[in-house]
Amino acid sequence: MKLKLYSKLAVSSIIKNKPLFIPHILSGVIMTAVFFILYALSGSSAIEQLPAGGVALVVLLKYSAILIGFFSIPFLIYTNTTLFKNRAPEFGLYNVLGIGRIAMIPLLFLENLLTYGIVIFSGLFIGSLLFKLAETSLIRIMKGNISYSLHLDLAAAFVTVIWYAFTFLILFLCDSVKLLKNSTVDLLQTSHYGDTPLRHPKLSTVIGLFILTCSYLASFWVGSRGESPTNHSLTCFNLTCGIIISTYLLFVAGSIYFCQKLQQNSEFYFTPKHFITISSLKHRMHRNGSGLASICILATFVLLTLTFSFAFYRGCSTMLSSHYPNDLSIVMQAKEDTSIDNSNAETIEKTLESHGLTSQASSLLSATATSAYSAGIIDMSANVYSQEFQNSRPKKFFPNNDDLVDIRVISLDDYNKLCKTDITLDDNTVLIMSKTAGYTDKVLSLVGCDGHTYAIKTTDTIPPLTELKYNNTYPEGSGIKECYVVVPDISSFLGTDVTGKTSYGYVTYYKEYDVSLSVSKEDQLSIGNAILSDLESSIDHISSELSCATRVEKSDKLSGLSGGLLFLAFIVSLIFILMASLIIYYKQISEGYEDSSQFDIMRKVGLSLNGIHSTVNFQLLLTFFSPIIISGLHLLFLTPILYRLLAFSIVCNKSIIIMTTILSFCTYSIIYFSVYKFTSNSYLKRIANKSNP
Amino acid sequence: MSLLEVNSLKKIYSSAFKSNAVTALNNISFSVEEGEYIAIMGESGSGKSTLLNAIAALDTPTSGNILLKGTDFTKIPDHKMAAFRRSHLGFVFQDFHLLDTLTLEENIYLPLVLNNTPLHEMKRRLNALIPSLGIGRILKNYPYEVSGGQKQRAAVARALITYPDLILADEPTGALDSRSADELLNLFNEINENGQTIIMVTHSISAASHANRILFIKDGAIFHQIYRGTASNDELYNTISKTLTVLMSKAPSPIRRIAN
Repeated sequence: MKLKLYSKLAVSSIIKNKPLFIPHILSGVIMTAVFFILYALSGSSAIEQLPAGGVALVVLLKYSAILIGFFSIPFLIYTNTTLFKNRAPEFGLYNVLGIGRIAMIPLLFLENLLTYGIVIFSGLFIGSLLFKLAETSLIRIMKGNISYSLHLDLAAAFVTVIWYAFTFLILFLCDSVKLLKNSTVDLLQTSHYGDTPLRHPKLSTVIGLFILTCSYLASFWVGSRGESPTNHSLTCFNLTCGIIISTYLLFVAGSIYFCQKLQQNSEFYFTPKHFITISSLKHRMHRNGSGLASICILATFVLLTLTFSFAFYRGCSTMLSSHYPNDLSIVMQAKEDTSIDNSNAETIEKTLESHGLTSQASSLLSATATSAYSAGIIDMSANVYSQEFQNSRPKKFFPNNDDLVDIRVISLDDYNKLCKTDITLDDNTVLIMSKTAGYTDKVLSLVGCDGHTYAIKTTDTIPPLTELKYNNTYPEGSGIKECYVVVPDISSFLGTDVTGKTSYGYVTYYKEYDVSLSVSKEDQLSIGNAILSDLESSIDHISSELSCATRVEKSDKLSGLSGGLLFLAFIVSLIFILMASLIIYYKQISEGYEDSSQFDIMRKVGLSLNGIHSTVNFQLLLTFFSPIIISGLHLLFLTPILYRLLAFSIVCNKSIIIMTTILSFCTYSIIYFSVYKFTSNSYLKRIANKSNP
Repeated sequence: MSLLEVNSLKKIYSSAFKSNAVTALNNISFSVEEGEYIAIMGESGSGKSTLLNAIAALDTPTSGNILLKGTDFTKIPDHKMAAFRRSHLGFVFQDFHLLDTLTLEENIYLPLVLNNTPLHEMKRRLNALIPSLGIGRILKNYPYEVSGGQKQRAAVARALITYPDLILADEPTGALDSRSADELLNLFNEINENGQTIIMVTHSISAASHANRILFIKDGAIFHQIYRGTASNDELYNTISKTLTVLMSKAPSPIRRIAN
């Protein structure tokens, strides 16, 4: 019987208090939907098969989902606190009418359960729709370049249900504590009370600043290491949590501090527009600070995903030409313990001849070795993979790989042939050049594999190896530069005993054939396929690894796959923008609802409509700028990680990342400003309307 | 020239269908001299709050006009109304209408802040009011931390601090216990003795018996008027009671009688 009564009460109170519940439910729905979408996407088999970034993206998506999950808790607590504060008089009334406070707990539980039900159902429904939409669009963009199996997102749904059940349980516990702790009178009056003042605003601000500084330092640390940030995912996650926590602390404690300081300045405080704004801000300082912090964090998410999207788009367009610079490229890599198998080389040349491509092909034999570099001396005799070398490397807080260099040794004859020059080299002299401008200017001498020191030849003009373009052995993100060394004879330079050197992969031999094709795309494709099938059958695969590809073939695949990734990145950006806008809207609406009675009184006391406008404008100014500026700061300090991540997956250099950071900040500022303008109009309308007699 | 002149004031509330128009004020005319202390009494629904809202310039009448020191309210444009209200009128409401976001001191300063008064002037005026109001100790508290009587006294301070021409009080003792009510009414007497004009709408006979002149409103028109003359509070109380009895009965049209 009681259950029936309580259920009826719960349902009717939700319906009757619609204006209060709707913002809370809406926030919950959005959170649930976003969490579900991100989690489901991270488990989708389609995503995993995206190029280079595919695996990293799965990790990224999963971590974003976890972050959203954790962020939901303080945010929903914030919306729930506002809700409870306005409903407390109702509970006080029930108490007066005869329902004991302990007996009201089941009522509270049923209300929370009902809210949870609505939230989870709508959230999953909307989330699944959007997820399916995103996934199928993604598949279509990738043009069947991947194998797709129907993805059951039950796992994601299950996790969403459990996690948000846990969240709503926390909300229920918060409410119950408040219900039981406060006396009936307090409950009836609670909507009038200001927020409880923070006991130690100064201490909290200092702690917040400390955590923030540590997080920024950690970000630089991760971003400066010469490896992909995915190797440090735990650190990244921790520093993101640190940024979130410190943002909340700074906004809540900071706004209190700010208001207190402003109030102490009487000349400033007792003017019409400052007086009302500052006192109302102080009155709801906790919730105000939480609201602003939530907006700031979401804005940071938006900025990060937008920057990623723009940088990726930009990087993709140059990716093709840098990864596949030649129309047709055949690369033979000698396996460990061997040099280049000459019979294989002959097979390749015969195949090319049979297709009539000998004149269009240029070949190069090279050997690569990762060497040590310090104080102007390149030392090829050092074994950089040995423990002693690793121990001797300088220990810096922000480690970089400046002490390593990837040497590519080529013969003088090949070089002269390719660059059409006639350079000669004396004994004990070598020629060096690098794709990175100005890198080789500081090199003084080179120590060969056998320990012999070589001088560097300097001539007026050393034509660069523009004829041949290679992929770097190391991605740009690693920070290890590449350097060509031209020697009279490769094997004598490296020493005849190659077995010893290649036994631990110290030196790798490559023979590369780069062919330019001047026929149509379809013909290029067919030629490439024909050559590949010929070589596959005739090459000795034991001694060498073969790769043969046409740029045409790769370009289609690459554009399809990268298009898919870009689409995904923009979808996620859009989702975050929507969330941030909704939170701004929610904040304005709920505050408008609370402030309308205050403005009513003020109007009676003599505040004109103009006065209302100027007060509100000042209020909006204070609350508008702070989140976007802080989030811009977060973006700035998180850029190193973003750069390193992109530089490991695709082409990205520092100028691209700087430009895209600025672009995404400007783009989002415009959106943010428009949302604020729009929502402030509805805030004004709500206040002004209620005030009109 | 009277301080306040109400001429043929009419207020008709018509619904969208125009079938049931409610006449809240039916041709009310009276005048108020400076230094008068008027109580307006009547049943609920008789139109007293409407009358007060009209005098407070919170509502526009359907016809007729109101003149404060010769200035016609109805001619003042909307955007200047608030400033006019701030400078010439002071309000005391039944439910205090203090802002939760401000301390009592800040609440009292509010109309002066809106007028851009300098801080030292605000402090000077408040210090002059504190002794008679007895709120010196609670100035830094918030409204929800003090009792009803203290809140109402703060509200009176807020009404007085602008040195208004007229104080309008809508059921000021309605939410107070009898002792706080007595204190408030004594306060009103005090400020009236200092020359402040007060118009008070009230249900309470004991409150009305503190006034100098009582207007009785029935069906949107003035039914009767009583002047105190030399009567004491108790005698006035009796007279008011008797009038109310007549008022509550089915008396036909309003008759104006000058009391003894």
